[in-house]
Amino acid sequence: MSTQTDLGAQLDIPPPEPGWLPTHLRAWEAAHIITPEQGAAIRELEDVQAGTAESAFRYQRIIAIVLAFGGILLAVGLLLLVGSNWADLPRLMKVALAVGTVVGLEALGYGLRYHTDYRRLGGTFLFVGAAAYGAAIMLVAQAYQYPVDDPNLLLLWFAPVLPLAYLVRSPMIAALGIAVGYGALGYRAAAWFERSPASADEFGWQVLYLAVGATVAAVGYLHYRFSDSLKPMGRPYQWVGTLTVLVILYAMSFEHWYGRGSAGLLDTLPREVWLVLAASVAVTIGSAVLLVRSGAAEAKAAAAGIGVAAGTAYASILMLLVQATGTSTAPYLAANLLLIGALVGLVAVGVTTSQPALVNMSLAFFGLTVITRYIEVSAGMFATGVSMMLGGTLIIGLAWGLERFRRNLITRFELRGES
Amino acid sequence: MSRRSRVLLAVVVVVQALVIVGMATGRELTLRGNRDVTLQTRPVDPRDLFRGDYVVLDYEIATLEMNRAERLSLEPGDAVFVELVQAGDVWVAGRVERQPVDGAERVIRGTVVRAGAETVQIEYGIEQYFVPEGRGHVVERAAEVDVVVAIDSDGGAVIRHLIVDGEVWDPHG
Repeated sequence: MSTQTDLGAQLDIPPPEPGWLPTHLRAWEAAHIITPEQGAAIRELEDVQAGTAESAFRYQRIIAIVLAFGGILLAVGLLLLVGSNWADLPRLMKVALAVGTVVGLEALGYGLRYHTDYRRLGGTFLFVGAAAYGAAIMLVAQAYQYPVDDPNLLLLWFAPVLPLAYLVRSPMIAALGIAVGYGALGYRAAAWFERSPASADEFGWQVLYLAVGATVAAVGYLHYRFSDSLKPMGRPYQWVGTLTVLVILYAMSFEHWYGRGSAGLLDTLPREVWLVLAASVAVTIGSAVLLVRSGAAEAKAAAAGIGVAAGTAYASILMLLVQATGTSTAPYLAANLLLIGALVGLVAVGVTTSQPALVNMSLAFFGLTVITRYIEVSAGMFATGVSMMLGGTLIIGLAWGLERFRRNLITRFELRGES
Repeated sequence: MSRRSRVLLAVVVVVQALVIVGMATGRELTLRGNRDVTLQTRPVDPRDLFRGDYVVLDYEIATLEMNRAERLSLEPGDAVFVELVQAGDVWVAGRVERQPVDGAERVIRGTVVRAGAETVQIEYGIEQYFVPEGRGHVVERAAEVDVVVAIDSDGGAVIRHLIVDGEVWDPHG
């Protein structure tokens, strides 16, 4: 058993979740891989340990959450400590302290993760090491008076953090890398927009980050093409990329944005944003094609995920580029329809790729949008009330239909297994 | 973890250490040189998300009359070299060129941020000075603030220290 655990750790195979065994036993019996007697014997044996396994699994989750909070707290604390400029130390000593802290934390994390049983604790120290590396860059920049708007600092932080995330298979470090990458791009883009006319600044940021969000989501879904140990690494990309698109689209769903028109955005959008947009289109289409061609399990659902994120982002960008009419109604309605379409699509992708987080994200945005629109149009309460009741009834009907479809599907699977 | 992954991980950690050391090296060499100038400034006191409090330094040499540079037809983003000429205790701007100024005792490299009809605004990468938390107001309220800047042979500049009301200022003092 311990050999299996060691092998699992080496191969980065996650431990099975409780409750998987009864489902699999039914499937194995139906497929005549094991006899009902063998199934009963396994059930009897495993039921004795089921309670212990389940509580151990629950503790494992709690420990993971506590470690994540501890790691984030430590990382933010490090950044704040650097920010306070607390120590009257010679510059070279600050550099030595910075290098020593980063290398020490990452070595400690590596040792714990790969040479002891404290894999999660090791992962937390590796995350803190990646954050400390950013703090070290800021410390040196502070000691040597680098300009406050230096666009290279976050880029220097970002560049080695993503390779580190993949080498140690840490989605948490990957999420940190993506966040830092967003910031690094923001610093660069500030310079692009500063050189452009004001009209580019008004909607240009939305265009830029919609394209980036679609790209990040596509890169995340592309992970479905690779081995099981790499798939979890795609989650932070999928969530952050999708969240980016939804947040921007939600912000754009307010009527007050429009009416002034974005006339001239086509001419004034900085060249660099066009390049980002072109790269985004290439990456999203390329990722979808690679997924569909791979024939990997869930590849089509993942490609659909790219379709939802990228389709919504590009349609929104197109809407921003052409809404030069000076009226507010058409783009306002378009933004809301796009948002609702994206949320429905996201639920479908979340269900097919077994990602409750995507479904939850979608439902949260749906609730937020409904409440926002209610507050926004509460002057005409009768019409709003009637339309919301109709909408709610339709959605409940849709959910009932989906539930029937799901039950039919399960029955069909079971019948196929028995035959 | 495979041997290859272990080697790659070691490479990533070494790259991180090199980035930190590399960031310090260039500036340390400039500070160890002996080409200081004192510049006049007017400070204000904001805060950076990552690096804490700093004072913004608005230099006399940051805003130059356009007649010094109009023949260059400058645009935002252009790199320029400004000759520094000693005038009493401080250094002031002399000629402005696109290339290092011939025969100049000190030259500082900057970037054009605005080129108006009458003046041109230039940044030199020394517009902020990071201070310990809560100490920025000392600089902001001072009657007179000068900045001692180390300059390398290519015109790159690094702040050495501030002179607040005639005294070298100790940020931690």
